[in-house]
Amino acid sequence: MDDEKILGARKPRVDGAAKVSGKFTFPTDTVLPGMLVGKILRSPHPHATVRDIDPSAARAMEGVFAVVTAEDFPMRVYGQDIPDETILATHKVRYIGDEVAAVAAIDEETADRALEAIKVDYEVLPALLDPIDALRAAKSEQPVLVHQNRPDNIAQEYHIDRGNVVVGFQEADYISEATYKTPRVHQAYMEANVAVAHATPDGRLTIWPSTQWPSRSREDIAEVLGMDVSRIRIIQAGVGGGFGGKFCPKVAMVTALLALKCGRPIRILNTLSDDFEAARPFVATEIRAKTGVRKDGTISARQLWTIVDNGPYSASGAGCLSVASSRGNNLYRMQNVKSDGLLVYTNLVPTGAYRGYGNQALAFALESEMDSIAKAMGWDPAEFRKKIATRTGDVTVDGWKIGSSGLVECIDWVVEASDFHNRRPTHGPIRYGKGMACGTHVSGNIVSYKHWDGSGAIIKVDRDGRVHLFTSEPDIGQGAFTALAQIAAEGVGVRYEDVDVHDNDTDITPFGVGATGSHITTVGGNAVKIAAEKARHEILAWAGRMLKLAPENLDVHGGRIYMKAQPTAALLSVPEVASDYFVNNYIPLFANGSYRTPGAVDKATKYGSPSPAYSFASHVAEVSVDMETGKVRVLNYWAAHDVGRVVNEMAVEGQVEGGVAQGIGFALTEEMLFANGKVTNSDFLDYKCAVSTDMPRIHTHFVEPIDPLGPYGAKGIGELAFVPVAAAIANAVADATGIRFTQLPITPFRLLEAVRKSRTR
Amino acid sequence: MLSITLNVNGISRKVDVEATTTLLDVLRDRLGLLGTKKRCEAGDCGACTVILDGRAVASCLILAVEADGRKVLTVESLSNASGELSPLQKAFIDKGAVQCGFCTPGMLMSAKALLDRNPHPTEDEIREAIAGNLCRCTGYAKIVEAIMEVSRRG
Repeated sequence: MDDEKILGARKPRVDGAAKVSGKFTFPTDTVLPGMLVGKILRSPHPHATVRDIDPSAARAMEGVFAVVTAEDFPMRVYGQDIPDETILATHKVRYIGDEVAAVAAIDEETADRALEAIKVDYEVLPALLDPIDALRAAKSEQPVLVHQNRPDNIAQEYHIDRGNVVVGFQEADYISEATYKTPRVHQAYMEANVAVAHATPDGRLTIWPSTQWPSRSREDIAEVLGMDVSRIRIIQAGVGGGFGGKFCPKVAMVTALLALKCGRPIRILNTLSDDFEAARPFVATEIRAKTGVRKDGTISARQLWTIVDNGPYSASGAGCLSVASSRGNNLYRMQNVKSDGLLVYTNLVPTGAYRGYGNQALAFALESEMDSIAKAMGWDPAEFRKKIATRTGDVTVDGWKIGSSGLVECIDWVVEASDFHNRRPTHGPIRYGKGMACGTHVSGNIVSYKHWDGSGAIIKVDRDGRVHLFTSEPDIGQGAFTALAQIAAEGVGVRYEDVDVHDNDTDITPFGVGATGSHITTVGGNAVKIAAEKARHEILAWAGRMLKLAPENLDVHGGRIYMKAQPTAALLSVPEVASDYFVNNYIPLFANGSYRTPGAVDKATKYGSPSPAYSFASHVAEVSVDMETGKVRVLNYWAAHDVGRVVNEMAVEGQVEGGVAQGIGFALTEEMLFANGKVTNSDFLDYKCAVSTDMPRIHTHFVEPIDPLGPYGAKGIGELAFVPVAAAIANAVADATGIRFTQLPITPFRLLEAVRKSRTR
Repeated sequence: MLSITLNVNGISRKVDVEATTTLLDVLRDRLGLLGTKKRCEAGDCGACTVILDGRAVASCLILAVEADGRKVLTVESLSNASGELSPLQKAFIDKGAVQCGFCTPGMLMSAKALLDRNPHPTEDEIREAIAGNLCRCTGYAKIVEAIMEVSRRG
């Protein structure tokens, strides 16, 4: 029956009512009795030796409960992929904002005065404020190094060499080559980074952080503090946005040090400028892309040189380097690929991931190149892409096994819907253009965190038949809990409204990889599906016992249990079975499920299939460009996505619309600006995110190939929604003006400069 | 300390505040009304929007003493005493206008102030009314749609 449809239905969010009534408890709303105020003393220098820290005056102040420096705890070196960071600076600070000390005080004012009272003696060192300078400085006669044990100022290199690019370029009838740059941009999540921590006399440390991976936070924090994991409890309410910017556990770790020192509940709440200047904005990239094509419209070779500005600490840098050096090569068929990338240490704000992990930067380069090639060869940009599009059953150049691809259908839809081949005529100084860009992304990427690439789920069917889902995949706003509740309801055979999803609590919930690599629908979803189907099996077994019927002849849907042969005649309800089960066993009906991303990627060659499924998209932007003011407006936007089976249409539309908004910012306005290493636009007035009046009408469409490995055929959406947007807009601007922009954002200033240059030429 | 009286969601509340205390901090820290969100503290993001004497304002930019004797409505006022949601709140849920939800209370208050003075706004008027409320999740599409829906039905 239609009203019982769960998968694909426009179900309202599980947390909707709490959020619209102001009753939802975000991490920044966590308040404990007697909670102290924690604050961090940050470095005012981009690069300096710390000769001495004297916290004695601060410690002596009334209302100050603790002051911690690197002297107070063993400072273990940690890092998400590359260990190069300590909780507080030891001997050296490496950016303006580096954590030097922290205080716990009775109130804000006292905490601020305590910070001022800490005396730090710095010896200022030359600062490396650009990756090219950093590479040169490492080779100079008096080398300047961000980390003494990294003699090249290189955090990591990335190299792949597949087929033979030399032969491939010889075979080419045309070769396109250009260098593309994207700046440091900020995820600009609405809720601040925050952590509340409380160390209790029983030896336990409870932390309420804002993180995209609660399970991993517990592991990381335990390791860096030298504590047993079971002594640490992470409780995670829903988070007010992350977009890749909330992996870094720094705030939680500093809060934990203060909590351990003072034994009272304490909170560190970042200000907006803390988040801009010391959380983990997205890496800046420079990508040189060279592509050879044959007259028949195929790609004969592709070569990339990527430089990623990491800042001094490598949170998500290694992942961003890898994705920005390779991912887009899997969008089209090609055999000869070479890529060389460097992740470079500098003394600017350390970086992190952002929705796509570098895929958006590479897409800007490669999808701009696709249009440049099409233009040079006189090809239709849509037909060019379609001909070489990665299809179902392909094994891509990096070894991805494509279980399903709807890329061709996506291209067809946007071409048709956007009337792609027709343009509005020029109107005075206003020119119009349309641009296309495509994208692909993993859906459940292997992270190889302690070899844990999976997710667990626990289903409890309570005595009254309500289904409780325990997952450690976090809802950071994207709708994870809603999608997982739908999968649970479908799997158990109850109504969506019968499912409750519990907040992450590492004392209760199992392991979850977290909101990364567009994992949750596929990896988390498969775990939930397995647990839910086991629960369904148990429910039918118990119902069979109650009815004295063979369970294999029974089925359950919408909470009604019936004979398969007579689906309209309900024999029992799930609440009746659950109640009988409970009173006979004294426990509710429990079922567990777990799922691990299959496949493997070779460490040396990076060849392999890193994800159970892959999502695809094609976007078209229509822009107007005012040649007198340089203002670009996005007038219309079409986005077709292959997300496999749609779990919740309203939610995936919302993901796409939000991705487009962030993409418009990335394309046209967003850029972190620096002066002598200091961020100069760490607020929402000067760091321009798209607002309601900047947004075009967004037309979305989903093609639904049923993926063989996604739960019920579903794939992920979160990151890919954002990936092609800036490229589509840059291509539309090129279409309108004839000018190819190779640097983001395309500001009015840059546009007018380019127009002036093109006229003088 | 200065003693002020605020009418918050229809109830008179006496509080002692410093001259520099913002209305936002009084609501969150003194009155425990955590629905109003704190982010930029500079009037740029709209997360702290409340309605003061009928106008949507950024409560981080209003000193508590400026609000003395005036009527303040926060997101907590939108549902009725028995917790039933208003049509505007329901439309936000049904149309998918909520994702992370951190902008939602401020967004709702800007929308309410608009609909109170203009029950049938155009799409442009809606976009203008919420242009000071930053949202990073939704691209505003479903928020605009939800407000349009209320205007159509209302």
